[in-house]
Amino acid sequence: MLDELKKFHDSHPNEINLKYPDHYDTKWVLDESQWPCFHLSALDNQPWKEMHAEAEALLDKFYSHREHSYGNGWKSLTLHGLDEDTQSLSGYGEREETLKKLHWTWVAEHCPVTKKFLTETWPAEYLNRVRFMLVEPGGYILPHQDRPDEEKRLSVCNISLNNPEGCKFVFKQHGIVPFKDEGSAFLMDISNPHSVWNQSDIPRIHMIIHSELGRKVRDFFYIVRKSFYTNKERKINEGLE
Amino acid sequence: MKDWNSLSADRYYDTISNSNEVGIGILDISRDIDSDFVAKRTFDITYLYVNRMLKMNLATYVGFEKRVERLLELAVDRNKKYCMIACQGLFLFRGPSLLVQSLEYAENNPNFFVMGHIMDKKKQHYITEGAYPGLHRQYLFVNLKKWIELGKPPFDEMGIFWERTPEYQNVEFSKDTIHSDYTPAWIKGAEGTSKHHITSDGSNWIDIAARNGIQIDNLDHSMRECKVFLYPYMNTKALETAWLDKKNPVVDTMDFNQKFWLRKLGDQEAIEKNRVYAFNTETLSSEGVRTNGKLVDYLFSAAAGFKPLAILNANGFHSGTEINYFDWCQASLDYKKHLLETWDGYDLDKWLLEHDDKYNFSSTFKGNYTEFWQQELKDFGGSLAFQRLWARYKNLRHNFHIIDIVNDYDKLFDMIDSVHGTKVIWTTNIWSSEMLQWNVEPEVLEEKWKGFKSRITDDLILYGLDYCSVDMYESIKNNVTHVRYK
Repeated sequence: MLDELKKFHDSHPNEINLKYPDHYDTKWVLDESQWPCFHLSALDNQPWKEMHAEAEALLDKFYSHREHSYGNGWKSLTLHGLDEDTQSLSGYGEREETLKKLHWTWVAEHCPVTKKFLTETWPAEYLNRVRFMLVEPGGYILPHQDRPDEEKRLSVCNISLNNPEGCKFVFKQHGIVPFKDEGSAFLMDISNPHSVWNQSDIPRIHMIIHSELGRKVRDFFYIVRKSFYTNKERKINEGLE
Repeated sequence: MKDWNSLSADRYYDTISNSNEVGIGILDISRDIDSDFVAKRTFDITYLYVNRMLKMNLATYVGFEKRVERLLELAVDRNKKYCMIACQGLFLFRGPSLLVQSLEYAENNPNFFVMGHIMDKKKQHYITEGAYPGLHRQYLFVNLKKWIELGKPPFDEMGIFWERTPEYQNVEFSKDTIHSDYTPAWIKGAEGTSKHHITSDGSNWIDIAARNGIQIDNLDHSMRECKVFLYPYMNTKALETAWLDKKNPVVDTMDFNQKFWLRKLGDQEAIEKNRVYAFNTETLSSEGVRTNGKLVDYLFSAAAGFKPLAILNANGFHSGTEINYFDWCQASLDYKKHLLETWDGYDLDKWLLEHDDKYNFSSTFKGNYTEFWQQELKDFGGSLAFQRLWARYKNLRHNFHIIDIVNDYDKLFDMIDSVHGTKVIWTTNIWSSEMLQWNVEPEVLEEKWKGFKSRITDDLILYGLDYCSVDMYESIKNNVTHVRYK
């Protein structure tokens, strides 16, 4: 198992380097770019460190995740869902009824900065499942994909509240997602096989947001557009384009 | 067709009766505009046209806000019956006419909720193909009483729903369309409801109206002709380029409305270079006497219409009074000189017709010389009174100077400072002309105005308007400034 993990990570030693087109087009970025991830740099100045502190204070409350399938040292804690250990929403019967039951869990009450970000800043009208995701030192998530190949699109948001040196999130055929230790938000295309390996001695805490845009489409587009131009400018400044 | 080339209120609109029942709010869509420059300047120009309506006391400005419902609340707070929402980038260049027509509509349809651009485009945005119909956010005219009755519904932005699809009333459209197959003349409720994955701006208002048996009407052609929407979130970079460079080939690549407006401005700019104003658009005698009984010794005047004559007539002058005309346009000075040398004070309309090809007369008056001349005579107390006044006036000493008083005001003030006596200046609406306000942002204009203002001495008697179209005396006294963008 570890051989498979090592082989997967060794074969992707470099960070993902996206080629930005000259002109911005939301539809292209989200649905047609085939990009495995997209840095929402417009959110770079969020209080990620405070949110990290809130999550870190609850480390002993996390629940093991996929421990018997492809996770090891992988844990989660649900802020918004059915309870603090909410699994995939499709596993709870009638979807429509499940959605109606979603609520803030006790976790959110202990994390006011995180809750404020989710209610006031995150550009979606409805939250589905929102979780802190922990990968313990030495922990890993084996290569897997969450959607079939034909459903390529950027959708779920993965936010690094920290990302210690030595912890890598790798997309097959693309490379390492450039998560920042100081905090960074990325839209992800999880139809691509991916894997995480925390080879540091620090717990890695991310937050995954599943949401429905509803009437906040334009707010979301704004974040994506602003991020596109910021990312492109940074690449130019770094001499990468 | 009248010219609408200044922020200043128009003398020929004196006849509009109004009770100021309308609040006007500007909808902030800067989030969607990918250029700080275009966002700022579209606000400036949207406010410019709104401001003209305010100066005519036709409406009250309620603010610049991101949400329609917030603007409506502000209008309610000001006890208004109606609220006109103008989106940032909407230019109400014939706003007074639109307002009058809208009030007529309200009178004929007392139970209306909202009038606006009904969009049944099925594709308001490329990601919202197949949407439930909505109302374009560029312009809304809302009956506040009905809005309150309906529970003060917010104006929803377009939405995408994968799972929590809203259930809206089915609707029926008029067979008539206004200008495209996606703009029906009206929309009203039909039997049943259905769920929608995609909604448009204002879809919930359509639904609420439909559920309450209220028909929503579109703007008719006459109303549409009163405004233009620049779609500042489309071709934004090109718009930024062409804002000042109106003849740039990039204009050809733009949306129809953008093209139309920039070409219109470009043409107007070219025309203004030698445009001549035979009459004034501002009221001749509204400011009254300002010299406190002293006869005017020196008048420094823009070379337009008969306003200088009216100022002299009101304050009094003598045979030694000297007139110094200034204008940035040589043609205006030439016209004034020509008129003084050749016209006897009778039948100006005939003189103008005779010289119609020689001068580029303002289109406001072109073809209607008799009508405007008769009004002028009325204002001066009849033909005989005018002719006597003209005879005295033309015998005065007249000097002509090419001066751009916005950018080269020192030249004017050096001249003013060099003479002594009762000195009067009339600057008309130069500082608040549409072209100037388009090309120079208010913050820059304000600095120029401050420079101009600093050269005004206590003994100079003022007629004319500042860069906000406020009388210069009031402007100096109250340190008037413009409405800021954010």
